[in-house]
Amino acid sequence: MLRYVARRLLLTIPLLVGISLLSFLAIHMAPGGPISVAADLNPKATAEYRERMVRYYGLDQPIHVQYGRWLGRMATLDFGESFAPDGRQVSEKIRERIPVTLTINILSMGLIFLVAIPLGIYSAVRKDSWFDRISTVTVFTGFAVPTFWLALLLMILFGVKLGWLPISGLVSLEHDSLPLAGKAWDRARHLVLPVLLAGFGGLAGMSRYMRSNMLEVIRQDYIAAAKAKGLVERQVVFRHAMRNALLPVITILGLSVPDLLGGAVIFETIFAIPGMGQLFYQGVMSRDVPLIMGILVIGAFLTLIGNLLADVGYALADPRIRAG
Amino acid sequence: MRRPILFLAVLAGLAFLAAGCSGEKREAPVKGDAGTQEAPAYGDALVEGSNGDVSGFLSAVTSDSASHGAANYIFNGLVRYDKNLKLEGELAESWEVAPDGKKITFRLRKNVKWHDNVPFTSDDVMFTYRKMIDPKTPTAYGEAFKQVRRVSNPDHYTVIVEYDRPYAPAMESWGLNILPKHLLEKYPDIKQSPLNKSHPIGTGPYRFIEWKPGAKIVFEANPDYFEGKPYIARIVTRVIPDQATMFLELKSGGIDQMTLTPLQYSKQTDTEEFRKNFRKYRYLGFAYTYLGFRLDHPFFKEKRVRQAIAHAINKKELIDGVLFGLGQEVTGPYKPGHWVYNPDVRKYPHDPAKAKALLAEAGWKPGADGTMAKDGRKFAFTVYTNAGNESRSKTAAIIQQQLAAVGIKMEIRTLEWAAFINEFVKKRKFDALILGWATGPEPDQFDIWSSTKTGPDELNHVGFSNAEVDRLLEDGRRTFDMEKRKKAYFRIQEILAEEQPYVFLYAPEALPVFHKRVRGIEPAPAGIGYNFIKWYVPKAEQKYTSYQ
Amino acid sequence: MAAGGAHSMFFDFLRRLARNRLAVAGGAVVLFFFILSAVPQVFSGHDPNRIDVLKVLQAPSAGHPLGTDELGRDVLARMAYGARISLKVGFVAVGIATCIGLLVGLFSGFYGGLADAVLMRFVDIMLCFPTFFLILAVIAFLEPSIYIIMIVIGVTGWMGVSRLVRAETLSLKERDFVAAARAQGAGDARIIFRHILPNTLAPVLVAATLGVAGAILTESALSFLGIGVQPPTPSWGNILTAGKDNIEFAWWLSVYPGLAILLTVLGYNLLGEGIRDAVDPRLRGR
Repeated sequence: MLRYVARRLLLTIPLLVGISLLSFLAIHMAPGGPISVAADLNPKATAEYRERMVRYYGLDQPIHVQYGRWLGRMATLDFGESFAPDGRQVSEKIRERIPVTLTINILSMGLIFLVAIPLGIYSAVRKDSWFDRISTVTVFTGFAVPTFWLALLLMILFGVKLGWLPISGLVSLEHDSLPLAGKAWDRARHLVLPVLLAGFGGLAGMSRYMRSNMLEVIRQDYIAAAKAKGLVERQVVFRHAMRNALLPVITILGLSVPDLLGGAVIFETIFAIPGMGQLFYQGVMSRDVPLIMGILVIGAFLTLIGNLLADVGYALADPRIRAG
Repeated sequence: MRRPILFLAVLAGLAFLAAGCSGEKREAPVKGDAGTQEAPAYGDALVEGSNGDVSGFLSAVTSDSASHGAANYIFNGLVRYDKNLKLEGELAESWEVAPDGKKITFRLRKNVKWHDNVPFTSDDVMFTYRKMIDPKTPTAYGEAFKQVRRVSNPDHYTVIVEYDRPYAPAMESWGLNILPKHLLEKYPDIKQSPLNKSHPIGTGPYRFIEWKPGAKIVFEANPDYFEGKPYIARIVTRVIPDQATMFLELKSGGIDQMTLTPLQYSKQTDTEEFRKNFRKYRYLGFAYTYLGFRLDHPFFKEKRVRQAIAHAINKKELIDGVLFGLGQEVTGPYKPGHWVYNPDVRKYPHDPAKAKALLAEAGWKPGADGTMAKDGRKFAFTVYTNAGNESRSKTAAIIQQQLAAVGIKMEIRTLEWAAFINEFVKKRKFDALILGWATGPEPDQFDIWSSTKTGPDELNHVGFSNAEVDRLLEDGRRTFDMEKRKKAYFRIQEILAEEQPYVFLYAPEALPVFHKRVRGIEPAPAGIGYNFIKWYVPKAEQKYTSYQ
Repeated sequence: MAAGGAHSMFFDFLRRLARNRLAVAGGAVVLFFFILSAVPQVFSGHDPNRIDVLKVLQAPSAGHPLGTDELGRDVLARMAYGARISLKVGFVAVGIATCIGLLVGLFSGFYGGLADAVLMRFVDIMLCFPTFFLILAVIAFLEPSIYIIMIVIGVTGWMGVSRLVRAETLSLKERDFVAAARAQGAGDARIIFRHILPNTLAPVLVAATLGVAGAILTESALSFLGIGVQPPTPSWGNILTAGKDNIEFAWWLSVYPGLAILLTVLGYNLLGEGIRDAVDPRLRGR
């Protein structure tokens, strides 16, 4: 197993290099290069910024040296200072925002897992039944509905009309003065809508994947054989089919990381959640190049980690992979 | 709500930057609500909604309204505007202007302490002045201080400012936030100091408690404030980027105060439920929206063309359509009611026939498709405005239709703010633009209209150049005599109305709304923010009792 | 492959598709909005950009069946013309993505070797970046014109197609008919475009159908952020964005564009799934 993980880790190295190369090129191919972008934004401090940017990107150095430095900075997650008026370190800004985004993503992934798998299995077993049709339409509705619109509708219903849930933000004002249990409850209430929404949006991918896997497995000979042996259908489904259908689903979890991160821009803006998606959007609107690059690279890292974990998880569950 | 902030001409990127600047009372608070005489009580928190986060706490080195709002809770100036827009002392107890207008002597309050208990003295004022003229300080507000010849402090509580020539905007300029020398002197660039980035310390009515970037900023009442401890114990500014979300937060009780859009004010707040919980205010702020022409553009260098466009535009329709009537027509850069406002300038009533006649005089004839043409060139141009400002994009759409009626084809391009300013406004890459100014009671608009201010980073971006206006601008700022100033600015308005470098469109009203439990808000010419330390919530109605 | 065989296969495909009720329903929705966007003037006689400040935010009535918007414009007219813009964004973006994906996939799969390795690693790297982040980052430095939006959605969305086509190509190039064509002296280009390409089109069609849905959603998300199709040009995304600020007061401004996006995206998804099932009766999942 360790050997598998080591090999898998080795495989990520070319990807990391690729990510660094691509982002390096992106910065340098931006019209006029990094300096012009910086100078355009801060006419007041043009000279100073120019100097700082030259130093930061080592623009007086040959190109391979510059790339070497960029690689070094990426490895230490040093993306320089934000162009935003506050001029703080990009890495610091990302660090204070990332836990929120990750929490919501992990929770919604868990929710997707919990709902999509039974849904997919049952849909496959009862293929073309009314249940199958309704669940198909439901999961696709989750994918198809514009997030910000549904978010507002839910806020109106649960926040304004019923008054059950807070509208936006992460904690209420009194959060710090609450007892521990109260704190947890307060946080949970704030997370309900965003997590529900992110989960609803991601349901389709997972449940459809589960359904088609399951269909494929059910058609296989050994299932037919099991049925022929006279096993009850339920047993067949659960003992034999599910395990085999479930395995590939683990990998799709890793693949869904970039989509969830992308979606974060929308629901963090509408729910006023100070996460990485909102930060990225602000960076984009103010053309904050260091911040944009920093978040893109971190986003790519997270995807890599997601894929890695998924593959390792897959290997843990399926010995054949390890051996191969 | 914000206190009146330094009135510097800034590009109004947001619709209601001028909130809290000033105005007149229009909608009397409902009798029996505000009128009841509960005893003012200490306590409770006021939660305000803000679209944007702060970018720093030192107003000298920030330029967005969220940051200036936060700074004004924490810091004081030497002077400020009172409810009637008269200058009064804040950190200065009193001041004298020498008869020749070249010297101002400020006498400072003696009982003022910084939030870390260090006494405030004239050294802090000297320090602030030096920072404002220091090239290392990236400030947009240094201009007024470059006019100063010398500042001295004979003792701890006296500051003497001398000018080479009388400089009328000088008094207002000393309303800038005074900075603590003892905390900032070790930072060559105050923008990089922790006071700006994380832990501001001032002399103001509220102390800084915490800033959660992207989420909220929390202030608590300063018990040692020299004008007495403010009643409301805490002020929380919550950052909510989406306007629709913010409105739902208001209705559900998540925030107590926000600025309404004209649409929300006129259409969405007219319910029994809303009236029961909230009180709306409206007053004319110091801001206006205009259609500006690049004056060296082949179409627009002709005065009659600009006048024709002014006649083609129906300002009434703009105010109805964009502001739902919550604003006023303007004819020049000063709002009606301003002490230098000149009501008798050339007006341009909506008159498409007149517009066409003026265009004909300038050589423009209708072509085959109805679009005006001259020398084979069609009258088609592009107007630029910034995205994310609904009022402006609606204004553009309505003007587009109004101009089409006289045969002028106007394309609209909405650009994101940073790109709009940097790529188009500063580089003069526009035919025309729709933009706004947030100004103030001080009538000096040298930076906007002087022919010496047409550089890329300067504010006369339409390239207006008029020798008489240049002279009058100089006259206006070189005397403290109100009558002489008034004469200069009256004449400037006449010229601007005749020349139409801008079509001056409208002044929007500021539309703040508050939860009803907040008392003591008294609209005045200066708006509502001037007395916020006297606002209170009666004991029985306090909401955040454990949160203090 | 004889023409007759292809013909009957196509009818088999249609028969199978017609049996799938959800796919038929999806197809009907897709068709309806397609017609709407083709002949918007049939659905509303109003000019979608005609402003009337005296008729602002009017509820649906006989004159304005879907009401009016915040500038007094007819919502039905804007929805109909907006359909054209939204679908155009979807189709052009997916067209771009599909072309790039096809070329990369065919090339990579057919030639293999170093080129394949490099291209596929490039695909892996591109897939690491959250697509929506990439789109935002690019639009930040360009202007959000409708063309830029279509191009950006296109060039950030081709990776899936290229993988799909590469896999198909890998298996197709080993098949007999390719060997036969080569024996007859066909060049690489001919083999790729005449023999392999047509056989990869079924899965590509499925991916494209789903892609159109995705692009329409992406445009609406960009509109919400203020960098989608710019008003006054109507798109479903920007009508909905304007509608959200009136969500309680003028429900018709958000409900109609919201439902239009929802139904269209849903329709394309159901149709896409239906096509997949009908093309491949073995119900291969992907």
